[in-house]
Amino acid sequence: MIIRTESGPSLSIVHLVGRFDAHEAEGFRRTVEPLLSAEHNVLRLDLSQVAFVDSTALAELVRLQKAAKALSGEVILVELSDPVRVILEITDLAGIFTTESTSAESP
Amino acid sequence: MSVRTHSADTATELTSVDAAIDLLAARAGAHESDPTTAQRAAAMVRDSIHEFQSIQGELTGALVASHDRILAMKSLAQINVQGIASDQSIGLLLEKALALTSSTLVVLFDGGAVAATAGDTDDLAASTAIALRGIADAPNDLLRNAAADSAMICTLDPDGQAERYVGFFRPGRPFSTTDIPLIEAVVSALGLMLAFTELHKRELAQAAVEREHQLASALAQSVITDRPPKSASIDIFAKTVPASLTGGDFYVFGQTDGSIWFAVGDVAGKGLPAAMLMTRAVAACRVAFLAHRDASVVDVFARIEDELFDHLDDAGVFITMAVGVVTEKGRSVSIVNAGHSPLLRVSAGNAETIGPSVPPLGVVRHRIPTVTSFVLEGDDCLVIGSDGLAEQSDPSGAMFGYSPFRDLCLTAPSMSSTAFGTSVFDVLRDFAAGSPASDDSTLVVLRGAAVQQ
Repeated sequence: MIIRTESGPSLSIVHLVGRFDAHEAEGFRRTVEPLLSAEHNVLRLDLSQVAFVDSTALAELVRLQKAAKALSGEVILVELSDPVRVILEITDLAGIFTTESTSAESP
Repeated sequence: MSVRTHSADTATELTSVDAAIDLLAARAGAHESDPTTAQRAAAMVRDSIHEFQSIQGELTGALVASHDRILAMKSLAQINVQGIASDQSIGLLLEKALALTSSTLVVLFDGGAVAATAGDTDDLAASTAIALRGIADAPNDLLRNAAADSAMICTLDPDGQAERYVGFFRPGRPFSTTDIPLIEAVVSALGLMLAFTELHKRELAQAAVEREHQLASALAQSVITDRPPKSASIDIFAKTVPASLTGGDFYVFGQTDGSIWFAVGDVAGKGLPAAMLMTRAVAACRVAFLAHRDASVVDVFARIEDELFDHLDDAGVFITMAVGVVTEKGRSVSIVNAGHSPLLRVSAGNAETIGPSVPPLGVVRHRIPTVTSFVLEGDDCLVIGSDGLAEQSDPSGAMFGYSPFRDLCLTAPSMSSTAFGTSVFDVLRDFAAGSPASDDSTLVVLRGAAVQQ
């Protein structure tokens, strides 16, 4: 999986490309977790090009959301690919994330 | 050596080179006006011959010494092969180094301390001080001479992380440049053999860790009972196959008076870490099933969540889980789904997904799940799998898929739970065509027992 980060003074966005599974979880955590801080407590994850997500990867997303909430922030999932949308629905995890898309925005 | 000389009519036996020279000098002197000229020539020839003989003796001695050193080097190399696992191997190596270099003392230093010695250790303290001073003065050198060339301090494994040195001490016989190639060869052999010994020790340690990992995995996996409970009215199949030695998938049953409680779950993650939480989840389910046998499914789910939530929260993982109960008499099923899939109610020609009503355990506390209730009538089945089934990949990397899995489940009503469960694993094995399982696979099937087998 390719992880590309964009960090600005008030915004961090992470673009993920490829399969997000147990093999990628550690690299994801190592790269993305440091982006969260008290000053930068909102993180956007662009999942438009994620082809597959397994339960270990979902656990990483949940862990990141908990960390952001602890900083009074949140993780926003942007442009869900179909595989990501399906896995979030069948695990009932969609509700714990704010999702955004270019066409519509949901809380 | 004897030499026979021939003249016209006589033969003279000569028993030594000196005799031959004397004969030649006498005959040459008979034709010279000054006989001493022939005698001086004879003396010169004798001196030259003696010089050649002396050189020959030295060369022979050097050849013998060289051969001895080759044999010693060979035996040094063989110590590695024969005794690498032995505690005495380093001692043997140093003994060989001592003999090869004609040193009186050889010392192996590890991290600035004496690790092993060979030879006379009466002056070990002084020799150690010489060596450590030499290392401090030239830390990056591979070879250092000290104590008026009577000591050589060499770095072992210069590219490695360990600070190891070997010191050769030969008081009264200073090392010279001719000793350096031999010293370098011995140091190289020592370094190589110590590296092999270190590698061997690491392999032994790794093997011990792997044995412990295997044991822990077997113990973790053993919490899942092989056989589901037997019931006169409910036909149950249950099987879990971890992707490695153990995993996070589990099923657990609790048979109480007239009811069978069940839970099927999947701890996020892989291997032993997931399995450790899995064992905790199995224990929490068993306790909840037995302690709250008359409670509702929601209450039992809440008890399981209470037991597990903090551990899951601390570990940063979650468990997808379906928890339910089926009455043996009426085959009435009540079930809740916390983020688990696939979960299907299958009847003739129809497979209905029972979706989640709450996220997996460990994500959000105190969400109250919705109970789905129905009766297992006729050939109806309840199929609870894990994501490892639908997400099994073939050699091209394509997934089996949730929709094909649902279609596969349409065959369930036509056979016993065991026949169906076995066929599912067979189909997925054929689909995988040798591709390794990327995740644990678990399948639990419940149906009425009075069916055509």
